Parts: sequence; C-alpha cells; structure tokens
Amino acid sequence: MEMKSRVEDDWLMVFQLEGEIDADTGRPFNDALAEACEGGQQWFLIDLLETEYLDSVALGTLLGGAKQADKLGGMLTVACDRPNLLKLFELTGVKELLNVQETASAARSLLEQAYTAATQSQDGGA
Amino acid sequence: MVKVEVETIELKIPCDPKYIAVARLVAAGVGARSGLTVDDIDDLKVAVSEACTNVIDHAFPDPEKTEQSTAISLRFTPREKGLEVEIEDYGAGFDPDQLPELELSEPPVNGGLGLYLISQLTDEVDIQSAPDSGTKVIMIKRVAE
Repeated sequence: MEMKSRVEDDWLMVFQLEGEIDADTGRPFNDALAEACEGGQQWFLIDLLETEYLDSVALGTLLGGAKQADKLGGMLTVACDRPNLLKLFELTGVKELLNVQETASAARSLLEQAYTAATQSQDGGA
Repeated sequence: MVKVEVETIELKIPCDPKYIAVARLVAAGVGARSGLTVDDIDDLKVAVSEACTNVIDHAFPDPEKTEQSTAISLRFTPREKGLEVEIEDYGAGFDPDQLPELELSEPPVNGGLGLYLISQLTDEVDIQSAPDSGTKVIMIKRVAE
C-alpha cells in the first residue's frame, strides 16, 4: 500500500491510497487520518481510485474519519470507481455516509460546495 | 510411482497481519482454478481476509497462554459447483450464539463488520466454536450458474 497526503488550498486534506489496504498495511492511513482529525482538520478527500483492495478495518477507519469530520462541521468524501470496493460500501450501507463519488473531481466539487456553504454561514454569523 | 490425489489445498500461516495477503493470494488462485468468476474471486478474497483478521484480532486475547498454537489453518477444497474454504484457529473460541447482531443503521467504527461481510459475500457459512476450543469458519462460494 502506498499513501500520499497533502493539504490543498489551505483547507482540504487529500489522501491518495494505492494497492491493498488491510489489517497489515492500513495502519499508516489509520494513524494519519486520526492525527489529522485530532489536529482539527475537517475536510477530507480520500482518493481510492488506485486502491485494489480494502478490508473492514480500513472501512472502519473511513467511517471514523467521516463521523469526526461531520462532528466538526466538515466533510469526508471518497473517490472510488472500483466495483469490488463499491460493492463493499453498498453491502455495509456506508456509501452515503462516506459521500462516495466515482471521480476525484466529483468528490472535490461536493467538498467545495459544502466548504463554501460552511464558510459563508460562518461569515454571516460573525 | 504412486499417484497421490490432492483434493484439499492446505495453507498454514502465522497469526500475523502481514500474512493475510498470502491467504488472499491463495484464495484467488484456487478460486480461479475452481471456476469462480473474477467478481466471485473478489468476494472470496474479502471473506477469507476478514476471517483471518478476526483470528488475529480475537482468538488470542491472552498472550501469556503460550502453549496455544497461534497458527491459522486454511483448507481449500474444490466442490462440484464451487469452492469450500475452512479457516481454523486453536485460540480462545467463543459462543456463536452470543455474537451481537449487527445494526447497519449505525455501522461500527471499530470492527464488527467482518462476519457480516463473510455472510454477505459467500453462499454458505458455518461457524463452529466454543470457549477455549478454537474456531472453525467454513464458507462455500458457488460457481455462478
């Protein structure tokens, strides 16, 4: 499993995961996502377009991140078009919770809408 | 030379996450030779992987009990219309009747999806376990008609 992470435009944290994520290889992602949440990061794009395999541990990590982001007023989205992974999201009923989109640009635009709405409501309330 | 018929392919892996990928590879290889489709093989890989993860996470809660074998045994037996996979550990075991019902309206963040996925992704699952007697998970993936 290979993981790349970066912050874009000072607000969005992007994780790109390649290969197989399981109980063995998933720990760096698990730790990095948890650390980012603890640090107050609330906007995430998880790019799984090059992820071949994902297990229930990684699914739990994604769910934890999505719930935490939601609690902080942010959002986590997942970009994924692999049928084997989409099937897992559907079977476990988490597709909507994870805001799964089939392209990275669709995931990004969903985040941008939510971010704009959130910052506007903050400005309006100030 | 005596010809030995091999019906069951056996694999024994250490109770260590880094060997789960090996179990997946063997599941995929034997699945392909048993006539499973690519999609069925993907399902089987998840089911086998989840069963191994469950062993690693739950079978040996007491590391002091060193007399226990911590290996995970996997047996793949091609059946007439599919593949049977048996995953056995010699760990703590549990009472299958005491397994909590999974409530999908609130998907669990910290585990609990493994057995659910196994049951959804295979055609038959049988769990044989009892406290202190290890656990055997037997799953069957059928070839699509």
